[in-house]
Amino acid sequence: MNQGLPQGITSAAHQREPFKLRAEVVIVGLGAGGGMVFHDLAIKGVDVLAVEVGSYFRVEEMTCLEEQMMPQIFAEAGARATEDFGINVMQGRGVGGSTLHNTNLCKRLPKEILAYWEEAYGLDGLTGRALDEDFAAVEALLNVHPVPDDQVNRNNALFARGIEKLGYQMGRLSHNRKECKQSGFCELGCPNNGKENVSKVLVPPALKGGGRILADARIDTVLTKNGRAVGVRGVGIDPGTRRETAPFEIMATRVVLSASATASAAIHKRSRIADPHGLAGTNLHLHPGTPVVGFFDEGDEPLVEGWKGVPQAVECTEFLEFGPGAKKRAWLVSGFAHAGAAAGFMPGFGAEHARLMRKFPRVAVVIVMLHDHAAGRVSPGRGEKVHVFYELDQEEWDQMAMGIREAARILLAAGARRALVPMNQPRWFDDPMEVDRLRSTDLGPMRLPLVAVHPMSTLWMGADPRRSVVNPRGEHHHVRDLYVADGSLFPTSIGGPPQIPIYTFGRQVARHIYQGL
Amino acid sequence: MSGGGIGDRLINRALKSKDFAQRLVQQQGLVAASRFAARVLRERAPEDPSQLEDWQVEVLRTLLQVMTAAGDEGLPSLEESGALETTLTFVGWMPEESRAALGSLLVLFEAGPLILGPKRERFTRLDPSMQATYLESWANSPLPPRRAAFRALKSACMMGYWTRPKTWGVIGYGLEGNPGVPERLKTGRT
Repeated sequence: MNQGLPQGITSAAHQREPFKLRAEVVIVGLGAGGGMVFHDLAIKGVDVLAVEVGSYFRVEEMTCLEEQMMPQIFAEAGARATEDFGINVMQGRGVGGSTLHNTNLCKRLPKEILAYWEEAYGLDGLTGRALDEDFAAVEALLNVHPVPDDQVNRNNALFARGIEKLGYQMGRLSHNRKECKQSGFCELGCPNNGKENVSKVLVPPALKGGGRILADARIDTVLTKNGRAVGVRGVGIDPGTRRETAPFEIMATRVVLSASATASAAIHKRSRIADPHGLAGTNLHLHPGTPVVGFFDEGDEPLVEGWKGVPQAVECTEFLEFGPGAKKRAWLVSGFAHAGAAAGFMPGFGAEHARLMRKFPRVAVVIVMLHDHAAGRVSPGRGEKVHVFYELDQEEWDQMAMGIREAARILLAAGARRALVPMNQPRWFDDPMEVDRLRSTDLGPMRLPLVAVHPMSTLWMGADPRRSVVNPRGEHHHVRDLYVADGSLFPTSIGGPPQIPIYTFGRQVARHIYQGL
Repeated sequence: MSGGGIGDRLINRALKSKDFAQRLVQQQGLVAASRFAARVLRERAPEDPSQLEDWQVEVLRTLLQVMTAAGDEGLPSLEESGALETTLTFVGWMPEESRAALGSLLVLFEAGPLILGPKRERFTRLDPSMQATYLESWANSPLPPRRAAFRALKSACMMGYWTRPKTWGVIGYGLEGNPGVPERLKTGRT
């Protein structure tokens, strides 16, 4: 039943009888944060057991086929959405979590965000050297470096061309890749083992240090006794059928919730963990994003084929400010999707839609992602289902409209014959002068395809137990020995890719746990 | 920002009640409405809403055809592409609650023309141009829930069709000709 799994990894898929395990520390969820806690504790000899609802995937199992990989490495088969179906929420599932399918973008937290968190949430020391040193160490561990010039594909090069022409602020993004073959299939799991992620960098040394992983195992509740976390309870999952197999309990002296801002909050609520101020599961931020498409289909214009090569290498930060008084909160970044997902974004249906799909090799795409101030909520459903409630308010739609106008302007400046905003009634722009006609009132729920890949903030840190769920060390304000180590920790939206901050905060939580053992 | 005084706690409680009510209305309302619609259609409603009856699969097949224009202008037909089976596989991977919602949407979609037009007939029995008109009415409805339903069904159909290798030739996509894709993945993919 564990054939082919590395030593130290067990699958709960084929257990037939209820079982019990013990560990000093149990970690729920093996994404960036949980992976770092697992690594840092295991290599120090701590008896740590990590539990992951998804499977362990070998490189050979990455097939580059959406129909196979979407159901396997995405939560709810990639169909998780807000309750009103307005936003598709894409999250990872498997040993590695979202680091299995992310596009490897690496950024530290902006100084303005850190300063605000220090001041408003009592998180002392965030603007000091200690966090910078932790960021640097994590970046070194994961081989973070700017995308080299010769790996900027045509989709990104066109985006850069447009930004330069308009004189906007541009940056080259950094990635955690090594020996990348530039397949472009990062989002479906790298077939070349090029991602320097949890499963490649952190899991092997952790297993060597004696750490254990229980895969295909869903945690439903945290067990508490006399105000302390004492373990977890869950059930095995058959990865082929998603049916439940045997129930289990894991008793531990420390419990770490690192199953993402949605699942961690859902587990917290389902467990009825002490929450006197009703905060857990609220304050959800999503960074909702939408594509704007430029058509480069004239004459002998070279093909774009944006699905090939490193997906995201360039950003435009002209319209992105941080901190509570930020007036511009749209992050523009290159983006692309494979055929199935792209077909979902392209407007219309039938023959008209198929005509647009024939242009697929000749489009460049810019993603407009919101550094959101709107806040939603999470509540648990049955099994792995999570109910996500989130709505954009008018201010957020204003920001989205601004970002969309600028993305269209950039694509036209880059030489696109036309720019498309793929609304249900699509908006086409042939000329930059037309772009300003788009108003935020033209947007609205279910008129625009929205995707969120960065849920955060539902079990956030702070010094004041009346205004936060966990303390600055990541430990729950009201339940001893219960920690959080994922994107739930962030008190606010961060306006950029979260993996480096999540890895880094995971390291800090591990440090606090270790000091207390 | 959440947290703080009694006002915030009351707001949070109210929001949680609203969430619960919304979920209750949405889930139970959707299932109840679809059971009623199934009776109107004189069809058997699935005992388990997360499982599709054969007639619901036929609604999905028809939806796939209208959504994707399968078979037109060099595109493979649904049968050639295997899109229906792929769509059903995707749906099968979803959590039970999501499958139930999708199944209910299929029922409501099939029964919708009886009330909404363009003709008092089941969706699958409309002629293709009326099916397209009906689909447009959902896509561009002033009501967000109808637009949402369209988006959910479109997403499922498009994922089922355009992830099939036989559709890729027309759009120039694929694994072949991509030097970054390992050779082991390229054999016989298209």
